[in-house]
Amino acid sequence: MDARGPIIQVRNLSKYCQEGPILKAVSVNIEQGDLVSIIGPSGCGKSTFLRCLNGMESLDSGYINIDGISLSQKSSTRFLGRDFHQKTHALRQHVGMVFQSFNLFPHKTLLQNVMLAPRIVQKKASEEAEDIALKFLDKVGLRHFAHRYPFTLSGGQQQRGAIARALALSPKVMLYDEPTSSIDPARVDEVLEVMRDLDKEGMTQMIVTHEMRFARDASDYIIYMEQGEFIEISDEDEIFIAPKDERTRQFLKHFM
Amino acid sequence: MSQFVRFTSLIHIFGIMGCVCGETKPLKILRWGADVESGVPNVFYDPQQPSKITGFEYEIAAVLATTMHAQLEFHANDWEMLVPGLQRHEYDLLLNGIERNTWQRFTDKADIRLSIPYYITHLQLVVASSSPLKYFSECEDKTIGILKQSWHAENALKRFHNTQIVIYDDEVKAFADLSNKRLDGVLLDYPESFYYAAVDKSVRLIDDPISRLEYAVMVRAEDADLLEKINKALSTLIHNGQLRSVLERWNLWNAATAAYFHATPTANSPAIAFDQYVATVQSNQKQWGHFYLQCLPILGKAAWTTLKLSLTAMFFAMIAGFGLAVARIYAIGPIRLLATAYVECVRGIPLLIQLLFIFYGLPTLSKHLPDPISHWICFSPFLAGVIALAVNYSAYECEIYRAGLLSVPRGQMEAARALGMSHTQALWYVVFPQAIRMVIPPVTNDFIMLLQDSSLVSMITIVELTRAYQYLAATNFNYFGTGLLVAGVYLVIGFPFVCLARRCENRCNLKKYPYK
Repeated sequence: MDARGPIIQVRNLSKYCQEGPILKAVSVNIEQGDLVSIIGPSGCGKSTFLRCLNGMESLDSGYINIDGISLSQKSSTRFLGRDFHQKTHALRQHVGMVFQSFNLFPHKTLLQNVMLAPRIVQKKASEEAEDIALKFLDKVGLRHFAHRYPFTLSGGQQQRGAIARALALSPKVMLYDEPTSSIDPARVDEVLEVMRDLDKEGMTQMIVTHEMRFARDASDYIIYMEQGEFIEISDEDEIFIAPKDERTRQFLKHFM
Repeated sequence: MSQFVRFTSLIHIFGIMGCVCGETKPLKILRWGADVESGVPNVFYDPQQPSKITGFEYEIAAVLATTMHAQLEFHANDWEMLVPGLQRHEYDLLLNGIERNTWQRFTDKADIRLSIPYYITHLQLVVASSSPLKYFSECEDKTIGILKQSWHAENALKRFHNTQIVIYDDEVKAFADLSNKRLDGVLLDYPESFYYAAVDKSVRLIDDPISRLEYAVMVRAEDADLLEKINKALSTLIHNGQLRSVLERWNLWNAATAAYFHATPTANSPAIAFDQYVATVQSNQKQWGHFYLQCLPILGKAAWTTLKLSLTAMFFAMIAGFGLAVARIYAIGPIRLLATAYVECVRGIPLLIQLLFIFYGLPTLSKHLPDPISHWICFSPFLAGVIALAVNYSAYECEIYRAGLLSVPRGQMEAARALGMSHTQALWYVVFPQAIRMVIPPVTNDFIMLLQDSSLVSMITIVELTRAYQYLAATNFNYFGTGLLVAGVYLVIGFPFVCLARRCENRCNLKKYPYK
């Protein structure tokens, strides 16, 4: 879609912990505007992969390039270099992240939650930050809840608030780490709806999810991960109808 | 009563914030130390007007100062801390029932010198009125109470092999045990026994003077000049009869002193001060309401000291504790280790030890240190109190804040970092505000505890509530009523902070944050 090539490039990304490898030299290219779902059994490294893209985990080898910013710091020394910090800092302003447990700031209202990063990270004036915040709260349908504290909101509302908070920095990429796992099933759709809308607007999104129906319906393609490897990267229909790999077939059997 | 030098500033708080070590003061101000607690009739709070100090030694000090053309400045200290206080230059002379012959043996060891005597007296045994005891020599197999650091009394009792000696902080407690029949007798300097027997008819004096006590003024060995001036002034006072008239006023004129002064043993003038004291104590015992009302100004002043000290100490303890907590959680290895070591050391050592060490221990180093530092470590009592309390409580505050910081879910920091905030920004805007809400109740609790622990600074010459209680109780032989009064004052000064904390808590409304 974009002449500059893929917006996310991952090459031979590896990460180890004491128990063994978490990511084994995974590589992927993601184009601007794609919605990619990552599925796989628990502990397969999906979340770690996503966190690497945001610079929240250090890399042991390989590199990541997101919108021209590349990360390749090795974590062999305990203290990460200044360079790594500078890059991740820049990176995070292009990459929004949404968590399973929402992580809204409980001591601030929804509006303050959304305003905070534009104000202190992008150093925007209070009024400007408020305008931006209200715009995005409106987008996720929470404008009327702007002055409510997170604890007064339902899970679905909180997660939409968290999406608005991430969007307020105008990221080029959105990452979701199991965004609907701790939400009442009846409220899951309102969150997925927001992601569909964003997809229509051309946002690049990566979602770690167990929502197979959503993955199938909304994704441009799906990555199946197991034991730190990308077993299969394929078209949404292909993976569900005719998985190439036996392991994918075994996994999907539980859902279909 | 023109000889009364009005007692103006009992609590020298900010007066001597800096150090006074090693300075040779011109003799304009005569700084003298004495124990006001259990000080009847030597130095004590006037029961008629409890914010004023009186006593026969107080008057002697006053006439001494006048003779020396100096202004008197009084410093209260605990009896057993009188000599350490002298050595650390809290005051320049001690005039408080210092027994010459007992101390003469320690002049070089303690680096002190003694003046010529200003009063001669003896030890006096007091027994219950109903006691069969007639002579001191009958003390074998008996239980006798004496005061702490009263070595002459201890020596006098050495001739008995089976006498049990019980040592008391002040004579009021000893007399209480005498009336409770825990003791067979109390052996004190004659003035103390005599005054107590005058107001308590349930005891009597044994008509049998024991040993000879010579009261003298004590100064530091290095102040030979001062000693000479004091000796000269005392001789003058002995010859012009001023010393005699003070002793007569207090009904303490006796044959031994008369012989030493080369004067007649019969008193020339009436014992006005003695009569007044006895009358006041007796009327205080009847008109207790009036008495307690008079205690209020001195308690108010002491409460202000307690409050000021506690607030200052808490302020610094909170700042230091916060720094330590952040260091213990977020700092790099060596700093984290240092902070941890600090907390463990400080928590593991009793506050009293820290206090005494900072106030009396550190200044002894000043001889070996270069000038600015040696001056620095000689803290004023208030400063030493603040430092000891702040150091001690910072360790506890640190642990509270650490618990608060750790109770903020990890996800909060991650979410903040994911939004592009730096580590510091995330701490400042996201983690700290949440942690502070968590720690309001335990920190309030700590402050109330500090308010009570501040009573320990009475050990370093500061007159705060607990000390004031002991003074008032000892002067009027009344531990019960004044005790209730002081307890009430503690509650009253602590209460506003409890309310304040509750308001903060409600404003932050912790119920808003059900972390899942």
